[in-house]
Amino acid sequence: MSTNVLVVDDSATVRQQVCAALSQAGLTVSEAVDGVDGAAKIKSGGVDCVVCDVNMPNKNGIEMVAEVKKDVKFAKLPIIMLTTEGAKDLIAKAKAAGACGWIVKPFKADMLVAAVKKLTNAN
Amino acid sequence: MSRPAIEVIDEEFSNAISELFDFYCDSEIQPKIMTRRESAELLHCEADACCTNKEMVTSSIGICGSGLRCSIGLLTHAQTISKLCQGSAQCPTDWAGELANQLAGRFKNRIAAYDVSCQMGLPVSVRGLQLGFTTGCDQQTIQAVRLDFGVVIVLLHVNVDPALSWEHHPDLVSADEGSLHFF
Repeated sequence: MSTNVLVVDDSATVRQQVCAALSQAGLTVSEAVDGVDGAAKIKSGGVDCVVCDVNMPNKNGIEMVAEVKKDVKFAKLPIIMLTTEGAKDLIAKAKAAGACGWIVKPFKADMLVAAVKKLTNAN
Repeated sequence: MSRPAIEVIDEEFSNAISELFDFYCDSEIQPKIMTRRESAELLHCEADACCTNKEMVTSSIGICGSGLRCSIGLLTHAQTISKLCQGSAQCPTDWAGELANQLAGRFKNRIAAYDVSCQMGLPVSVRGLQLGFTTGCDQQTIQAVRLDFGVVIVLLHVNVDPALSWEHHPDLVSADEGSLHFF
């Protein structure tokens, strides 16, 4: 069964780039435009991994992770932050909220794909 | 050793511009400082040489914190910004906003090593004809980034105490762009 990856980013261009990289690697992708949309799509089920921006309108990525991880159903859901931010305090906040990886933009497609596959045990 | 904050800002911002455009162009980029008038003339000339469509985009993003307030602006032609996108951007305003966001993030990450903690806003982008920068503040720098397919004008408008100085703290260096960290 294909691995379903949810891409959460307020930039349509970044979503397009990330989705292209993941789908070319055989992964199934869906999109969310901010943390509110992302949390709703995760809660609706069927998501195996999340790639999530940090700075977004309505609800930022770290707030989204904290909200989702409150539900034990999503305790093991791998969430990778993909962001321009590299500050150690923010990385620590994301880790504390329950994220399991952090990539600083701009990203290389092969690195992103490898990270998602590693976290989902997808081949 | 501490250095004037404004000197650090200028240096780190130029480095951030070079690195960002190096990544997307896969070549070494040297931004050139110029006046607002020179940048407007350059954009006009490049439009004639490189662009079949004169439509322009501009994007701006704010950063503030630790005695510093600044805004970063990008100005270029829609065709130029689209070509900067791997796979070409369907929406030039969205991509211009993302590039401004990535430039601001890179700059913020660089000055974090001087114990400067900042917050970034969200980018605002506009698309139109004959767009230009009109701010007249003394603490602003305009740099032109020449690419094979056009020019991007980058503006940094800074509000910082000229007497402020910062010291580099190697232990505070942020995660590198393009790096991956597993928890």
